[in-house]
Amino acid sequence: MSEMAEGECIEASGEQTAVARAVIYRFLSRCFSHPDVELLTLFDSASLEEFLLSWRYLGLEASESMSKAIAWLASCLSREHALLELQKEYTHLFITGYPKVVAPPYSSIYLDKARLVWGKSTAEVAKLYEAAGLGMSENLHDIPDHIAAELEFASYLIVERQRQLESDPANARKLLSIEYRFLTEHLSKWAPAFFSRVAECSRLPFYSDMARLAQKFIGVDASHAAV
Amino acid sequence: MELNRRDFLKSAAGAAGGLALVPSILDGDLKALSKRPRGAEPIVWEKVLYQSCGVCDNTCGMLAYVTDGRIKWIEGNPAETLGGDGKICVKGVSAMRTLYDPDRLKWPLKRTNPRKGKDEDPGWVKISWEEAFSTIAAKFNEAITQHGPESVLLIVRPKDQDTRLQKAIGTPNQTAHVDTCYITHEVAWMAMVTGGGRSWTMDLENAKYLLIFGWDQPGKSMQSSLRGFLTAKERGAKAVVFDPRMSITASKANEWIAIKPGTDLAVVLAMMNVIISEGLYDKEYVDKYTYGFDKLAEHVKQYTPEWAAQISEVPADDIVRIAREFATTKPAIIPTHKRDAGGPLYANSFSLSQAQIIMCALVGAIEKPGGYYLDRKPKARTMDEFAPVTYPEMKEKRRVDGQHLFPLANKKRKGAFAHLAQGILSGEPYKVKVGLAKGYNILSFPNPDTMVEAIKTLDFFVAVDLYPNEMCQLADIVLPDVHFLEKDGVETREYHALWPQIMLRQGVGVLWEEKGWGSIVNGIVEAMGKPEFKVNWTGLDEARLQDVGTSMEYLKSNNGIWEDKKTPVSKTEFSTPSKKIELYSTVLEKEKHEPLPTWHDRLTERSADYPYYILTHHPPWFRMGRNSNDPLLSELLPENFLHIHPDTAAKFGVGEGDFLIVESSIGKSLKIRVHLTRGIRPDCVMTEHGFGYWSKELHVAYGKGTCDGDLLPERKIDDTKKTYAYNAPMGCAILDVCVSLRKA
Repeated sequence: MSEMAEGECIEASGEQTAVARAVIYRFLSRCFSHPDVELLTLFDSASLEEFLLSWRYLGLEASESMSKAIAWLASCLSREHALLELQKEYTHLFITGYPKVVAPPYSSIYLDKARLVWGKSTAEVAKLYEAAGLGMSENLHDIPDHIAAELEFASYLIVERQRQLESDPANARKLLSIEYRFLTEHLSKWAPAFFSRVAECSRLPFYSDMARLAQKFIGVDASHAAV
Repeated sequence: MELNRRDFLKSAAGAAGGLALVPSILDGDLKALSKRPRGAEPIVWEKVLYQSCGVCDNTCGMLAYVTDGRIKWIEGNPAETLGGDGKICVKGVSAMRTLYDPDRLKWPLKRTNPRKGKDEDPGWVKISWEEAFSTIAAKFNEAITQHGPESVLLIVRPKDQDTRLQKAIGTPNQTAHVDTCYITHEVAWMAMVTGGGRSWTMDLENAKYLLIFGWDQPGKSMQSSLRGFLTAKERGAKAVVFDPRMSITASKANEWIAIKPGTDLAVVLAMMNVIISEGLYDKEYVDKYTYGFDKLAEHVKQYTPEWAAQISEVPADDIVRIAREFATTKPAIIPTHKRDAGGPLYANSFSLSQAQIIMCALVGAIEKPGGYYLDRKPKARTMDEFAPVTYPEMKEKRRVDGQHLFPLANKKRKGAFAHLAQGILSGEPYKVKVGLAKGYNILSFPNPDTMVEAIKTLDFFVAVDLYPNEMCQLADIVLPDVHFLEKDGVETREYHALWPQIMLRQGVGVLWEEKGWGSIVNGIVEAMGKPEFKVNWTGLDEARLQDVGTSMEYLKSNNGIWEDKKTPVSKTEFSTPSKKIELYSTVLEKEKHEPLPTWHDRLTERSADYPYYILTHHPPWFRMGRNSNDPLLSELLPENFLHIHPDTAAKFGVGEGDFLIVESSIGKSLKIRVHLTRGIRPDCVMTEHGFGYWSKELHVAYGKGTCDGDLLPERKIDDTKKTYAYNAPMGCAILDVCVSLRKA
């Protein structure tokens, strides 16, 4: 893979690969949640390093692709300013925007003919959450197929499976099969189109960079899962 | 930073395990998702919910079928007794598409672009409810401190929640659309029959003769009217429709008479003359239940069928024949509702509404089978009885919409849309500074552009709605309303039902963070430092159920309906000074209005400059902007048309699908695509309401067709006062305007 040549090659164990994938999904989930102070902290802490390192564990490179996003964050005069800009753009891209919402962050808009929220694909993913013992958090107040929920779900499945490999192998196998179905039959079917719209139309480098990264990662990861 | 990162990478890669030491981001809790407790009840993916339709006021009982956690199918509740057989209309079966519309408002939004206008990006940013409430409270309180409570304008309906907010603030300015809708009927019924509101309940299915003036509720697919009308027809009733165009109702009637618009009053006056002079009225009923017959008899002698024929262009023979049929085929009724000929469409509509009530009384059609019934609402406590509080004294009685100048209309406190823009812009009687609109769009005002300018003059404006419509485009803060399919509750039927009924609402759950209007009102009053005005709305629902001797549990196990089903016992006394139906209204007389309906011309007549009458129509699948953004309903009629008689179209050399420019005497013009029809008078043109949305954030409705309101006048209070003597309730005479046509 061409990315490998760019960075130091890290030999990763199966566990490390799993954790790296989980880190990336979780980090991306935060990036596509409604921006709050914690998001800024993420870019200001070890989490960013972990995120970049995780890419390299997978033989991929992220730091170049994020350079504009990071530079933009660094250029903001204050955290309040950065946060307001992020929130404005988040609202514009995903909630209510003029002249229209750029990329509604729900699978049904991309997968279902009717282009309404809470479609058939929403139900499919909501049932996968339930099968994995999860439900929507009281904090989110959103529809189950919101991109942030789905990315977090991927991360959760990977971590839990890893944790239960020895303690509960049967459940670990179940989680693996949910992960397989979720990634190959659901997330990878709509997220690329969604992130491509964001990458193309965002007026802030933060979202275009992160969307491009997410698009790349999901493509690669789903093809791994399919193997 | 670069160096540090390299160090980190090195050490992480060097250390055994590296990332496996649980990276910090995986250390925290889940945010979007959460673990379901062990042994939690399995999620129910399939169920059937009882609902009561929230699109129009018929509140039809519905069953909402939940498949895979979403409402996939809606049908009528077969246990429904209002409107007969539990069938519902296209608006109801389509409601899940408005529920799941991605354009819906989801969270409170704050404007970041201070410039307001049709082509301005408001620059929305999502905010918390706390921030929304505290900002609104601060702005309202500031206006109240500096300019008095009357500087707060509420464009809301006069229902419990709205009234609570208004009275807590202490502003007289609560204004609704009723002057453009049904204020004429409301005041006529109040003065002549009820002392309160109008009768909304008609026992149509038992009527044998339906005499109709512009009423087209079947054509708006209002179920109780539609089913009642069709059942009556099936049972052999005769229906005669006076309407300048062939409405849907007219197309199902036995006779359609293409009357000249705004002249129905002349026909009804002449019919009264015929019925009285030929002694065809119900003498027993008139003696027992009415007041002022002799004065009426004397008064209508002047209105001969020949005279009416000249004005209305309806042959005198037809007037005589139909009057005789109406009086001798019992039971007979003149159905009315909203925006019909007696609704406030013309300057003389109030007199018509008066005359229609008299006609019904002459044939004994009030409080009798096949006629009108006064309300049979469930007898339950009021909001103020449930949550008593001392309201601040409302010192300023004058209103920015001028309603205080019209005492009878002011009793109903329902507002004047047609005056509002002028009131705000002129600053008479004083300036309003801040405002809030709930569930009203700018496009529902006559001449909406003036209203746009008026709202722009306010320092701060809030819109509460389901969609980012035009009103929201002008707001500083937008609050998302819940969709009726989302929420639990009960619907206490206020009208149409012959006996008291309460309907259960089982919601599918709130999708985002929308709030019901009651919660929003609670949030605002609390943030304003007036928590004593909060109401436990769910508690109120439960208390009301208790009052009528039922409960949520009963509703859940009884088809979602509670009803005190009984054949209505006819009232024998009415809430007027004489306790009778006042054909000669002492209430109107006391207020110096005409106590008997008297002929007046339309306000505007055809002229060389404006040689055509304009008519409008609401397509049956649209209702107050609540479903104009539905892609399937939009396909039914992708744009509004100009319905025109082929002979008229030929004068301009246009055919089906060509464009004409319609200019109204208020000076605005619209380019509309022509639809040829023989179902309209050659001197009239008609176009559909519900188009011309300019909010780009409605991605289906935006840019389709034109807004009929652009052709219709708002009214200056002085103009309305000129017709005050007979137009007691300040009806807006919204269609009392003429237009010219030219080829595009």
